[in-house]
Amino acid sequence: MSDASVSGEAPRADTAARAAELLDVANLRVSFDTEAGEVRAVDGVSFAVRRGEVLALVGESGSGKSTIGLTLMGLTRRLGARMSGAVRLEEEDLLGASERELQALRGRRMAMVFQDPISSLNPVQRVGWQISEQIRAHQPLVNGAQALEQAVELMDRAGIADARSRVRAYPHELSGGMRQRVMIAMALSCEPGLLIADEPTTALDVTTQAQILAQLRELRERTEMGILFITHDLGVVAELADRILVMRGGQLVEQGEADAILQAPAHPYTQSLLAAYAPRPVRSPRAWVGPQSSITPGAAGGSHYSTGLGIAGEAPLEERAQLQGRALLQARELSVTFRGSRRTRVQVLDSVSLTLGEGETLGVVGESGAGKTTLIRCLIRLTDASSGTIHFRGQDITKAKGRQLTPVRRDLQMVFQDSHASLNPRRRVEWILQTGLRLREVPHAQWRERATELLERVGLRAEHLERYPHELSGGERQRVGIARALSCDPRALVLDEPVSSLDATVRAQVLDLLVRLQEEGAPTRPLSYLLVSHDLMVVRGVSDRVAVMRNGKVVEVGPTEELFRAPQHEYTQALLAACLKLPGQVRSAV
Amino acid sequence: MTPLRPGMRSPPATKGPPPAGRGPWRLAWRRLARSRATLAFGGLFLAVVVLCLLAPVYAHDIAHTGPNDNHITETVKVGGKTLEVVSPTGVPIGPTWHSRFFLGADANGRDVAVRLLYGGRNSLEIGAIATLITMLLAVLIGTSAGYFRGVTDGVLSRLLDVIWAFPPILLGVALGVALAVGGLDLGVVKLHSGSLLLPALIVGVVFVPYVARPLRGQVLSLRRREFVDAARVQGRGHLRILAEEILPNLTSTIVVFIPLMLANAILLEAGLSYLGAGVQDPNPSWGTMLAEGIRLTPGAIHLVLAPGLMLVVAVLGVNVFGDGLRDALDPRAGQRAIAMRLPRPTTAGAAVEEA
Repeated sequence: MSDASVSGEAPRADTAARAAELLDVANLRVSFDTEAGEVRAVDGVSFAVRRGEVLALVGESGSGKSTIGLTLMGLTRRLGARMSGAVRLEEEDLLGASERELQALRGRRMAMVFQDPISSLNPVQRVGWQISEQIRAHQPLVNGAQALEQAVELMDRAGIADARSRVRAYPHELSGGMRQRVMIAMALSCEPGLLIADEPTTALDVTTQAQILAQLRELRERTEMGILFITHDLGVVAELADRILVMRGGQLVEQGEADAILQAPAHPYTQSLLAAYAPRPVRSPRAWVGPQSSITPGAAGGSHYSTGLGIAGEAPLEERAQLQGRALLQARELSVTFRGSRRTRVQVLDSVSLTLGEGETLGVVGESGAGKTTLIRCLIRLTDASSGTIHFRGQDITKAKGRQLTPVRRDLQMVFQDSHASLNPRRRVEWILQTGLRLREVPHAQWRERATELLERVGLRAEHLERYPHELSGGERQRVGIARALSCDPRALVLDEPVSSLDATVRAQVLDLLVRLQEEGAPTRPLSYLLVSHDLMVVRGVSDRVAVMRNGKVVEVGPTEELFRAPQHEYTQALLAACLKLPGQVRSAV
Repeated sequence: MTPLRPGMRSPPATKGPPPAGRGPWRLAWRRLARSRATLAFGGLFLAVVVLCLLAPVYAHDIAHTGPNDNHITETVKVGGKTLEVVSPTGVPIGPTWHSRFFLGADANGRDVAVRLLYGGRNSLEIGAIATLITMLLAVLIGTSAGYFRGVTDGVLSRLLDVIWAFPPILLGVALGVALAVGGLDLGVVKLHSGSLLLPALIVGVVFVPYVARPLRGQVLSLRRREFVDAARVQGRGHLRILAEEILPNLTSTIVVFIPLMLANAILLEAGLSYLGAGVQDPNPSWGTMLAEGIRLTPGAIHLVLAPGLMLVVAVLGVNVFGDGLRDALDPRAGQRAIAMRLPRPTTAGAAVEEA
């Protein structure tokens, strides 16, 4: 597919650069009418996408980057958006086009890949059928068999191994990465000139993300396609983009060549974004953390650790990091099996043994499905273990119920991943914080004062007491979540992906807060963290030790520094290799 | 690289944080206040309620007659002419537009206007009590079935299914006829057959599944939310979690259901009374008045028109108000009402008119 001849016009005397421009956006404004008045989502943005380049549109949530993608596809019209400016795809005027004209352009000349492949695919139709349907919608002369043949080819090109048999699969039978590849195959079906990819790898695991990015790179080189890549992740940008646009509050803040921006950002906002993305220094071992002695098989209690840990012949994976008396929370050969359909059993946790020491931060990393969440739900007694034991401060709590659990509940608190879902939308912050105080039998007269103190500890102000959760930003909500957990004055916090739904700058702030709280708490009563994350970089900066999980097993445990410097297990090595880094941050920085 | 407009870093002014404490209720109230039709129909219903509550005042000070006072042998002067309240052929007098027999008389020579207001009082009372019973039972059943699941849910849901299996009118008539004979004797509670609480209880029970089901569904999804886990981690018990975490999230649904169930309860009561399975003579209610009036139609059309119109105004008022309230509290719930298989008031009303 090539340039001006498509439109039938003779090439004009424009410069070559003009001809290379695939998409030209000039002074685009998009606004929505809401109850709070007119909200300008995109405010005077101009840029161009050239053939065969990847233009990354970078910004934090609410910056208007997704609105641009949707507007280009003509999908904001139905939402009642008001648009002005000019958007040209080659010679087509996208803003002025009728819905019917847009319909013909979508899929054929421009295509979009969304963040969530499971909701973008029809669950009751085979993926091959969905792709061939897309082909036939735009090419009426192709018959069903031919279209299916093309679908196989496309899936193959999108990097789906054994595409011929996979065309018959339903979306739920494919993994997240495979589904996203199907979406890409579908987007490529009519060889569009422009591919708009809105956070296509955000929902994927790091190893899968690396594969998809490689696939996109290869596609760009093979075809002349221009890719508008919308993302918040600078690591992805560094990996893929030729040029970068940085957006904030609906406006372009900075644009330029990728390398130039990543290495020497001019605008303070870009600088702060980059700074937030920079890996945190590895935490140095702290005095009150028990000696990081290496494992001595056969030592006291050693038999607990040396069995059932998956890889035969390898040293037992759980280290006796702490002296016996200092272990706060201890899991021994914990297994959880769920009953699947048709009497199958799904083993989610497989003989996991872990120890969380007093005042220590233990990071648990793994990709989705590794059993991380089940592990912590089990440890905190929200899910029952099928076998194995859990000891909290020397007391067996594996089967504790009701009142027996009360002291444990106070000492062991949890911070949830989704700060939106974990705060009751019908309750004010003050009430949310006081639930823990009531549990501690704090006199009523002190509640408000205590709640204010808690807010101040997590970096919020007394005025936030009156707010409802929906009136807080994501970062503020997560701080309230942490304050609620602290309200019981716990010995340990279990943190389930506490920052994964936050923007990079906010993420850095919340991690700083967690580190500060631990250091503040240290003199009187050590505060331990069990930090679960899929993101190695998050775990790396705040953990004393790291456990790597895969398929319900712990494959490697070790002091953070050691584990990152010399990963023993091949899976850990693969995880580290898939980790994206900005230029200048070579492995040695780890 | 080109830094664009370094001076324009701040986001647009419209994105400022909202003032603190703008809770869901305040937002709903603002939406409600903006909807004129909702408020107008709400006011209409309120006017009907106030009128009916003033029934004794009207009877005592304006009409000078009670709802059950018989004037069959008397005469009234209208425009200088003297007319019999009930003619020798049995046709009662029509609206006189005077203080006495303002809307005419019925076959027994009773003042229709007075009976209309007293009947309205009964109808609204029954509707209100029935709605209260429905909501209490439904919240109890719906939340416990949804929260505890398992056996509790199984038993309670089958119980609801049994009620739901019958059309409301049919079940209401069956219960009404059965209980109208001997009253209800539960040992502690005794209701004699003429009691107004009897139709209220029947109507209330019949509608329980229509509210309990959606509530159960909502609780099923609420209990999986992380804030419930957070409460469990804090060591709070089930009852506390139900009361403190789940219930506040149900209130808007409950509030939305109240006017809708009130409209349905008033209609069902009218239907039952019309069929003789609700309010028993000589107690007036709009349904019984319709039943008496229909025998004299078309000779004395006012006997049907008066209670019929009151019924329409009251039900329409509360229904439109309920719809507006729902839109204000939960703008996305528009379709949910249809999915709940609520008997539409219009069809139920038509059934009454046809019967």
